[in-house]
Amino acid sequence: MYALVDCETMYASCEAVFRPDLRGKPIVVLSNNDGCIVAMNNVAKRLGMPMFEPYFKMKNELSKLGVHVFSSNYELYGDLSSRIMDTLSTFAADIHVYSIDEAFLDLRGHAFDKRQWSRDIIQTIQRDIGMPVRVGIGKTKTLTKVANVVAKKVARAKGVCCIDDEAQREKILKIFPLSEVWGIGRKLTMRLGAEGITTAWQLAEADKTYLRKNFSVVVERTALELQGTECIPFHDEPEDKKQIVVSRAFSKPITEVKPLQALTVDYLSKAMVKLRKHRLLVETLVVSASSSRFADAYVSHHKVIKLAVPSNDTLAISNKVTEAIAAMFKPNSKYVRSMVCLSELRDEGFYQKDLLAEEQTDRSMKLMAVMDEINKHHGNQVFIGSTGIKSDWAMARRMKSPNYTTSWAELPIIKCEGRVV
Amino acid sequence: MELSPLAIGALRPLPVAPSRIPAGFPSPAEQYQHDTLDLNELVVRHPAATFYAWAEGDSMELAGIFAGDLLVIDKSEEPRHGDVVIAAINGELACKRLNLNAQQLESNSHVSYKPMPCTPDVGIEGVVISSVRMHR
Repeated sequence: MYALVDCETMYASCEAVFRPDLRGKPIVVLSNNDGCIVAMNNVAKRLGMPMFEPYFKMKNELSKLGVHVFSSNYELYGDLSSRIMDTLSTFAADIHVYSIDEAFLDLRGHAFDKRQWSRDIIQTIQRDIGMPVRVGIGKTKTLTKVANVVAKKVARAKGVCCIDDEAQREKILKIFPLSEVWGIGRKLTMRLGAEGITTAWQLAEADKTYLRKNFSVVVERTALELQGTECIPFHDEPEDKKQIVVSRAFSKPITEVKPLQALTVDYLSKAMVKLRKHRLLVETLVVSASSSRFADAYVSHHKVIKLAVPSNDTLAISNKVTEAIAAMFKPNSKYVRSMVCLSELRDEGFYQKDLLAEEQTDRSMKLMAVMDEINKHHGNQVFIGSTGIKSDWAMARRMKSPNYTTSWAELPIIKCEGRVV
Repeated sequence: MELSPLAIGALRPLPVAPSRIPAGFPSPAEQYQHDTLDLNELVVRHPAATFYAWAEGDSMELAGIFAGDLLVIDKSEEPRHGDVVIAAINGELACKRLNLNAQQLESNSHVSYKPMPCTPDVGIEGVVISSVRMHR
C-alpha cells in the first residue's frame, strides 16, 4: 500500500498561513514577473477566476471582486514545503517527494488503521504548518492518485480516500473519468474515448496486449496499475518538471561534515544534469539533511537557497550547497539522508533576459554543456571551474508577501496589545 | 557551585573545532574539547513546526515579553492552561496568556487590558515556548 499526500492549493494556502485575515478569502498567485495567474485557492476558483490568464487583463476584475493578489514567493513555498515533507517523513518508513506540494509515502508492512492514520496526517500538517492536505491510499501509485482525487473532490470524504478492497476499487473506478487518470492526457483521453474507453474501470479491464499494441506501454502500465499490479516503482522520476528532487538515504550514517557535503553536492550534480536536460534554469533550491527519525536525537534541517540569477551552473551552486551544509551541520548527529530540491525553475528559452542585469555568462553555459557531454560519455562526474554570477537580478514581484520564515527582517509581527479596561 | 552547560557556554568563548595536525602528536587538550553549543537545541523542540516572530507592544511585559523580542512559536505543542500563545483574533495574530479555567485569553501587563473570551472564531495558532531578547 502507498499513500499520496498533497496540499490543497499549495501556493495560495501558503499565503494565508501567516495571514489569518485572508483565510476564507479569495487568493490568487501570479507567475514570475507577475505575468499570469498560476495558482488560486478554492474561494477564488468558485468566483470563476481563470487560470493562466494574463494578470494585466484580469487586474480590474480581481480588484473589483476583492481578490487578494500575490506575486509568487518561492522562498516561502519552498520552506513550508520542506517542513511539510519533514513532518510527513515521520509518518512512514519511506517518502518520495514528487513535487513541491505532493509526496508518496510507503506503507508496505504497516499494519494500522489507514483511515485513522490519514486523519492524523491531515490534523498534524494543519496544526504544525497550517497547510490543508488530502490523503489518497491504494495498492499502486496510480491508484493512490485516483484515491487522492476522490479525497479532494468528494466533500464527505473529508480529505481521505482509501482504496483498500476490490469492491471499493470497482465502485470508484466505474465512476472515475478517464481524463483524471494519472498519465492519461487529453490526447489519450480522446483516442481511448474513440475506442469506447471512457472510465478508469474500462481502461483497467481492457485487454493489455491490445493497449500496448494500439497505444503504448505507458497506457498498458497505467491499466495494470489501476488493476492493482504495481508497475511504477516507489522511487520514480517526477513526470512534470515543476521541480527536481534528488534525495537518497546514505549507505551508512554520516557523522562528519565533509562526506555530508560531498554526497549532497553529488545529489546536486545529479539534479543539475536533469535540469539542463530539460533546458531549465534554477532560481531557488532547498537543501536538507536529516538523521533517522527512529533514532533518539532526531535532527532535520533545511535551507532555502535563492540565487541572484537563474542558473544551470553546477559549480556556482555547489559552493552554496557546501556552505549551506556547513551551516546546518550538527556534530554528533547521525545523518542518514540528504536532499536537494530545485524548486523554482525557469525555462531556458522562455526566460526573459533583463537587459540591465547580469546573468549567467554564455561561457559557463557552454562549460556546463561540455561537462554534461563528457559525463554522458565517460559516465562519471566532472567538475569544471567557472562562476558566472555576479550581481543581483531583480524580478518584478511587486505583490510578494514577506519571507515570513527565511528572513529575520521579514518575520511576522505579533501584536501584544489590546483594549484598556 | 555547579555550572550548567548554558552558563559555561555563555561565559566562555565557544570552543573551536579540533585543530588539524597533519602529523605528530594531537593536542593533549583535544579530547576535552566539546561540541559548540547550538542555541537551537535549547530553544527549538520541533524544527518543522517552529516559527519565529517579532513582538510588538506592551501587553505581555509581565510574562517577560517586550517589544522587539523574538518569539519562538511551536505550533505542534498542545496549548495548556497558563501558556503564552499566539491567537488569531479578528484576523490578526496576537500574543496572549491562555486561561483555560476562565476560557479566555489574557494580557499580562501593568496596564489592564480587557481579556478576550475563547470564542470558536478565535484560533490558537501556536504556543510561545521561549522568547529571546537582544540587550544591545
